[in-house]
Amino acid sequence: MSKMSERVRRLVGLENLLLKARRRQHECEREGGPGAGERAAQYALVVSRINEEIHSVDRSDLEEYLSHVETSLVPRISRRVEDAKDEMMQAAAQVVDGRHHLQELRTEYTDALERIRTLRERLGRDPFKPLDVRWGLGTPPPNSDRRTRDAHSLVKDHLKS
Amino acid sequence: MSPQSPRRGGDHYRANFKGAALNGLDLRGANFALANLKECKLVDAILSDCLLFAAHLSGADLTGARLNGADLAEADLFGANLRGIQAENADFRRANLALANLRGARLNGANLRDANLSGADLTDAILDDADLSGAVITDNE
Repeated sequence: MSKMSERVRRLVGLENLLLKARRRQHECEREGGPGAGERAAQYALVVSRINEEIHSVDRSDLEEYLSHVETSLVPRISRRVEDAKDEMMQAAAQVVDGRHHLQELRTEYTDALERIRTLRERLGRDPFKPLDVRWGLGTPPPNSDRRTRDAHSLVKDHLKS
Repeated sequence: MSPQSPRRGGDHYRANFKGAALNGLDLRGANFALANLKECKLVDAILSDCLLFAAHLSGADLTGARLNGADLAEADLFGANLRGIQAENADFRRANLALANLRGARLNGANLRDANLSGADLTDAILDDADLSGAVITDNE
């Protein structure tokens, strides 16, 4: 990382705080719950105040900061993007594995039902009433948070495609 | 010390109260985002529903303080005394609680996701329905 002046270091600190405040604001908006709207509004104000501080610095500091962002911050974010993509691909692979497992179980279940039907017929028994197995993902549990609802919808979309 | 005295529902964004004696004050709902409250005396203070985002509270004494519903996300509480606090449904996500004293703290329903609790003393703390996912919990021994 390039050497930074004290003022630019402060600017970097402000940028970090800005990211943290924005992240928390989005969490409040996403998670909902009692008082979340009011809290999100408070965070929006914090974000705006930090932004004001960032915008009040002079041109030479901004130039030094720009150089820092270009040479250090951008490559770091780029690496994190790759990590996040890896994480997402691993999760997607788990979804695919889960779908295959469900398909295998469904075949196994159909075979078992067929075997029961044949045996009951041979023994002169009444038809077997199969269990109501819910193969679909169904709907998220009541009162589930936004994240859970989004996950359900994302997986459903993925399985459709 | 900030020229402004802290008050209930007050706006103390980035204010400096370092080392101030604020014991027993009713400060509920106040905004202390990014405020400097290092080594403050906040014994039995009422800080319920306060916004303490990224506040500096290292070494502060909050013994018996009420923090129900307060938001302490990203706050620095390193070595703070939080003995017997009531912090039901408080939010401590990503807060630094390393070496904090949380003996007998009531943290029912608190969010401690990704918080740093290294060496924190949680003896007799109540953590029913608290979210500790991703929290760093290690012994100081």
